[in-house]
Amino acid sequence: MKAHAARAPGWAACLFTLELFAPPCARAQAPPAAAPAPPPAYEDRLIGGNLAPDISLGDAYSTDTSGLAHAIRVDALTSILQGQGASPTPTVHENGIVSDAQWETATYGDWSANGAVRIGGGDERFLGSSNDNLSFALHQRGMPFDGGWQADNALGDLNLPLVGLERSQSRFIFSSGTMLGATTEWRGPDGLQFVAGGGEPGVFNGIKVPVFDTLGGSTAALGAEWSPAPQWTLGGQYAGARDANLYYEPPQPPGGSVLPPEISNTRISSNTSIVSAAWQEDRTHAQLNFIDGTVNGNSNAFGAWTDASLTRGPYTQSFGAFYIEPNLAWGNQLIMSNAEGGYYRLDYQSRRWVANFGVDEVLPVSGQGVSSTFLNGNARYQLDRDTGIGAVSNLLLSHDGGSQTGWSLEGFFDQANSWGTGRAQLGYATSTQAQDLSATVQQSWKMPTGMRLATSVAVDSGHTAPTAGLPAEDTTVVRLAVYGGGDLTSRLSLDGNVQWATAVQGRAAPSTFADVSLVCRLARAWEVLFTYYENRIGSWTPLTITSPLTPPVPTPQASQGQQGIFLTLRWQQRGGAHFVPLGGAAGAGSGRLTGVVYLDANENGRYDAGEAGAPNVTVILDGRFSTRTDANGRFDFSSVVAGHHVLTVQQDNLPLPWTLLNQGRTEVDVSTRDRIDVNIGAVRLK
Amino acid sequence: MRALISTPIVLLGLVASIDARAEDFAAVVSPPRFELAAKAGTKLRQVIEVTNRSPTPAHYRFHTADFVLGADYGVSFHDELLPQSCRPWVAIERSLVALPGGGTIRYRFEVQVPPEAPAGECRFAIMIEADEPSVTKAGAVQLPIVGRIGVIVYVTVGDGAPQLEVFGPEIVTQNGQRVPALRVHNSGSVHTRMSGFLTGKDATGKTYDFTPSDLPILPGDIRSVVLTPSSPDNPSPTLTFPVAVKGTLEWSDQKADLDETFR
Repeated sequence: MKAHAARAPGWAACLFTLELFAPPCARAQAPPAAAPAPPPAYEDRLIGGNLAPDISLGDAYSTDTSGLAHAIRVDALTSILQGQGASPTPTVHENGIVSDAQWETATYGDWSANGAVRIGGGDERFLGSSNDNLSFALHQRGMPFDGGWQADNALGDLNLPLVGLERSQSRFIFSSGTMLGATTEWRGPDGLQFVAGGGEPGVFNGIKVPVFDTLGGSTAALGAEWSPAPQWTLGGQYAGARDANLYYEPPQPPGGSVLPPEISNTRISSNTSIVSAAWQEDRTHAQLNFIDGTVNGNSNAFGAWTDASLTRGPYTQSFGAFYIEPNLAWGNQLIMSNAEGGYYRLDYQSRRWVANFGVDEVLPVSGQGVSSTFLNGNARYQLDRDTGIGAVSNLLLSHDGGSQTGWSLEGFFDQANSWGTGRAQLGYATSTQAQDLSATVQQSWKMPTGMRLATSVAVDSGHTAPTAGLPAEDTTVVRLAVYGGGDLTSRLSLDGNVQWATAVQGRAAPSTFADVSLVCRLARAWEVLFTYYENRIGSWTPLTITSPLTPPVPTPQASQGQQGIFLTLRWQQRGGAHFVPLGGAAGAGSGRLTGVVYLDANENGRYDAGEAGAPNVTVILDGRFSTRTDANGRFDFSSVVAGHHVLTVQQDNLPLPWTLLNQGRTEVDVSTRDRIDVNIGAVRLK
Repeated sequence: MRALISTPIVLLGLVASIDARAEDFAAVVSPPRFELAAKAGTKLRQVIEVTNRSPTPAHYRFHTADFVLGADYGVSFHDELLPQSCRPWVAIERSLVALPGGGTIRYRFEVQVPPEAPAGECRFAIMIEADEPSVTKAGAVQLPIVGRIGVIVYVTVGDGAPQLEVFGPEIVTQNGQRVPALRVHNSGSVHTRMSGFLTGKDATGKTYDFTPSDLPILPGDIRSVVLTPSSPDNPSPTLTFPVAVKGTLEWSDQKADLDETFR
């Protein structure tokens, strides 16, 4: 009987055991004289037929561990795209090269670069062809400096930088606009943070080859943050814009502009400042913010808001109040303004229950604008191990006489079934202008290893009241969606997301979205992707009630879209290992610590010409890391975390009669990207 | 005297990596376990994905084994056939696999359930081992080591089902804490795992959720199912007994109400 007893702290189906075989000395002992003969080993049956091994090298490029971590990917794309809809755009090509790369350095942080360039297309015009045909960005992150400072810097098509307090706003989200420019961010001790950046605002454009179209003018931001006490963080930031286009319209064929000139030529200049103070202790958080700014030389607009949350046991309460005058911008982008009100939210979570309730009150500061009360509640209860039920309800009460009042109720039933996990959902929404009833069945299917499949079927039935110029209409739309993929063979894989909707009643135009790629691995780092792409927006959208700021009105839109085929040749390479300096964490500042252990013949404490090095002596850093001196007595710790260190020497291999006083203990301070040379002299034993 | 020391390491994320000088054993295996169902007279084919996470080529030996779960859920693997083994019905793809650095094999195995197979459950393990021992250093001594991963397979045949009898509360010590537990006996023909939603109060009046341990209870086994307490404030509280626990226990497609005081 060959039994390999193994004891686990808990049962796990997959165990990994190390068997330490007997060392040679143990195996040399004589076996017991009466050892029973082992039974014959069990012979496994093999699957019949000529079953070739199904081996793929999909991850092969990630196994080169030499050097520091690095990755690069280059895609060369060509495509043919055709417009859809009543006035389709002409057939165009989106051809280009898209690349990105990341690499880690030992002392200069992590770097990444990405870029895209759109190439040619003959005489045909494509979105952006009259503007910039490329995008690029170079990022450096986490460059360490002494004193606990780190810096991030970037150049290219970037987001306007924000200090931490403004990035983490829970309700008032700053839209950090994109620009062609440069940014810098410095983080130091006591929560110090400085950010600055500026450039020409713009927008990304394109389907698979993202290029950057600029909007003219300029934008800039400058901010700082500080934590004077562990619970407190204070911060402030300025953002401004000069003479930037407020609206963007992708370049169109001659005469094809959709926006009237008075819109497309609207420009914005703004100056906005914000100051924030946050307090956090345990599971309680509060933040107070003040904002003030001008747009296009108008009088100052002021705003203030506060958010707070506290968690006790399974309950989390969040609440706040806001007052924001009209006409505020952040850089070249208009932001939510002309609103005052408050909110309260209660969340509860236990093993069986997830529930929350919220109420929002929004009023216009100017007297004209959104004025509503919004109530939201949802709950999910786990009936048993496999089954859960829940409901979501929303109520929007308009204060302007009820013209924009609506409510919705949705119930769902989740079950882990023998095919996977399914959900059935029934929803109803109504407003003064429309009603919508929907039923949805979703299923994530159990699939063999390496495959995935999820499906969804829905029926939406809606009624729209007559509006100006449009008659009442009843519409029923059937929607199907499939997401799935997996390895078909060792060289072929399929990945796709397809959604399709069509009206079985009414005049709604069909909508389709498809992004399906067949990937063929040609060789170790080479792949070809065939992608079918279609994005056709239908003319009908279901009624939803989700926000106090969004009117519960179906928004008619023109049916339009694009379909095409992309062919991509991809080369990618990845490798290396993450760099961790001795005594530090990945990304910590580090320096080099070198030196020599020498025989101080004249005992003057200096390494003089003619004095010999002590070879093959062990030098220990901080009692944890060791190296040996070479034939000349030199040692080298090529990367040591910045800070204070202690060197000691094991003198076992010192030639007699030499010795080291106090084990050669030497204290040194290593700075980031610095090199310290230490000489440790041995003296004659007396 | 083959195995001087055997040390199991439960794989978190199923990545096994040994720093070795001769040949690394760094394999990722998915899925970690199979719980299959088949009718008598049918054949199942399944796939295990094994990825060599080492940059260097690796040679793996695949073979089947039977396993036994100890009283403390320690597992031992056996070459010889044990009762309720599926292995006479099992065929594997091949015994030796050479994988390049970073390569993945979709390794196939089949279970051909004979027409006369009775309803119930059989089980086995597929062992994936480094074909050659690596050498690691323990102090001043270099030792050869063998990396090994076992993928457990359960096959329910026909209408086999578990049948649990819960016969009594007890108090056991888990991670140094006294916690309630239930003695259960699986008199059915298929293994099962306990789950359920339980709540209770200890002697101080504090309310806790209790989670039954979901370790397998094989046919014929008598096991202690530990009820681990937790609360939103404290994931591992210290209970003051007596503790009253109520709720519903679930296993497979069966349920039972529990209303028990542990003293």
